[in-house]
Amino acid sequence: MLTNTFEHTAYKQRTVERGITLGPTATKFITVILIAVAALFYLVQQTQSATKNYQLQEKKIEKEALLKESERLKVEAIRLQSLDNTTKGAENLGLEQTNSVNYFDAN
Amino acid sequence: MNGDNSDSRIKIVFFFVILITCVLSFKLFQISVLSHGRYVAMAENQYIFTKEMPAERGRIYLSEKDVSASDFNKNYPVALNIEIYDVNVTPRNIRKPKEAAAELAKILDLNEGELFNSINNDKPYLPAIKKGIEKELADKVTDLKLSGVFLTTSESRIYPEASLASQIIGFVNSENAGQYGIEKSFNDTLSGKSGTTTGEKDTKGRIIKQGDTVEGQNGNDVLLTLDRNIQFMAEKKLKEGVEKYECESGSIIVMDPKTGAIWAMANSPDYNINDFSKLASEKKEYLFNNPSVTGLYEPGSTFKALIMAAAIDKGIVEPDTQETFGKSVMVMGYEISTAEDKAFGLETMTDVLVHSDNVGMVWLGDKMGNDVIYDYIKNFGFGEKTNIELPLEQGGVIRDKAKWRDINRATTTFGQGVSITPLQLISAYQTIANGGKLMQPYIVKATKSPDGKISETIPKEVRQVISTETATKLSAMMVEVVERGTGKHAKVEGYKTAAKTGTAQVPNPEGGYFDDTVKIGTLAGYVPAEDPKFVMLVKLDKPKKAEWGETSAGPVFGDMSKWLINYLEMRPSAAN
Repeated sequence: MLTNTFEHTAYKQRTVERGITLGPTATKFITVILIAVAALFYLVQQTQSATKNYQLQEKKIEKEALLKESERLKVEAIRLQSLDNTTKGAENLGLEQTNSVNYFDAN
Repeated sequence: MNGDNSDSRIKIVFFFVILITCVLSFKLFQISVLSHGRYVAMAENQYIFTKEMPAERGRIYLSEKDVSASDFNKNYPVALNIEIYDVNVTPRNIRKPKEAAAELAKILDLNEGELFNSINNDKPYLPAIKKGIEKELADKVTDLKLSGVFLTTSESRIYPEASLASQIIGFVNSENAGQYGIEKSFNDTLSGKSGTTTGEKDTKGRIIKQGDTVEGQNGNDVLLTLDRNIQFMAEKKLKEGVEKYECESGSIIVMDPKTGAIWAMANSPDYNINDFSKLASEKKEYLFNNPSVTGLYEPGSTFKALIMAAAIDKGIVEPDTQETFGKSVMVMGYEISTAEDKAFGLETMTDVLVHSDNVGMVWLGDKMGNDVIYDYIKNFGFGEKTNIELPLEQGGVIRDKAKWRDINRATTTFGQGVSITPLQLISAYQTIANGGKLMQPYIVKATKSPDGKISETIPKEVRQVISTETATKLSAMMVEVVERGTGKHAKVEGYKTAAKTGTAQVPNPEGGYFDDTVKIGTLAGYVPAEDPKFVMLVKLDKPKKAEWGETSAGPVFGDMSKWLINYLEMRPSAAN
């Protein structure tokens, strides 16, 4: 009987007296902490987003620069293929112009 | 007493607190509500940007041999865009002006002293110290890493073939608007439409977010019918001819007789398109015009073949119709003589062309009458523009037939008293070469939109001017002109050339004509006569070292024909 009473009391004390209760100060503190964490999270997100934007923009600029360089090289190639350049090149190589062409009759 | 004082002081302080609060509240209301829009706009101006994205101007291509319009980009671009740079300086930000001036002057080929004087001050702005440099040089400036020196970029039009087809291509001015040539006539097609883009930037002006973009549209590319190699060779042969015979100027046009496509349109003198602004400042704008379509002249004896074609087509004469002619004839009191001042006696109509006999032509004109001559001249396309896609084209002048007197008819038969363009004359010869069908001459083969859609020009028949039979007869007559007449210098061994020469007097603006030393030598014809592959006109203005068209334009025609025969890989004509 005595044992039973003790056991019953001990059980009751563990469940009720050791439970977490929040007072008004703790509630305020936790709320502030949660808001701070949320704000921090938001800031981190925003910063990351801005950083990604910068990186994206840099990549776009890099891509544009490469495209422009490619275009410039194509233009340079076109310039080098101009007939004026080609004829000067032929002269420098000592090539001679074809003056007469004879055709053989296939029949 | 003390309590009363204390209350009144509190009331005064309270009053001022209320007053200040009211003032601040009003100001807050004014800023955040009444002027909300203005401040938002100011803020947006600081971090939101709108940038115009100019459309890229389309390229102009010359045709390459055996490359079709569907392989558009395998042809050669003669007008395209590059990025150029202006070198700018903010003098107040330059740390060591002396060293900066020395280094910049060396790279940019500027006077060091003058540059130092212009940058050695506290000015916040200076016009660009060097404009339009290319990337190689711009990179050298960037590598100097000079404070206060920065580059700005822009698009510029370049013409890699410099003077090749300069009067056909034209150029763009500083506002990127086409001037002269295809750049002008196809300005809308080449220009495209600009787009815009918005976004956000940080305090240093770096773009941090791309916003809305209104897509622009780049300009269309234009492919010309001009064959790059034929054009190059025509210009080369023309320059050689102009130098050899000490001519004032000249033109060569080469055309496809079947379609009317222009393969070459060379003029001398021409100009380097990349130097157009320099030429404009030297008052040499006359070089920008294309005399092949703008230059009016009297065709002289090259006109005789066309009058003869009309007479045969109308059944008035045949190639073997005979008549005896003297060395001159009187018309309304004017004496008209043969060019060599000698009588040719009994001649066939073929002989009249072979000898280029003015007296025989006057007789023929008399038999034809005003109406027949006038109608055929008009049908050959004279007196009106050909409507080729080139600006400033002239239509020429054919006097109203109601006002023709006998002397007008007589001079018209040998090409005096009418003014035409070289393009009109070659079109008329194209008609004979093409079995009597006049084709609309054209110089734009195709256009290509930025999405790759290609629109090709379809050759257009204007009208049947003479019958195929007449055209064949004329060809045979003009072969005789080359074989045994005035056109022998145009002959290429193994090939039948049909051509007619002309030595035209030049009208004097004060009336009459300049003396016999001022002439225009022309030769127009086609090869081979039996199935023409090309039709060509050579015109040399005021040669000092050749008296006749046959001795100036003739050899140039023959030389160019020989090259074209090789280039077009033409089989020799069958022997008779």
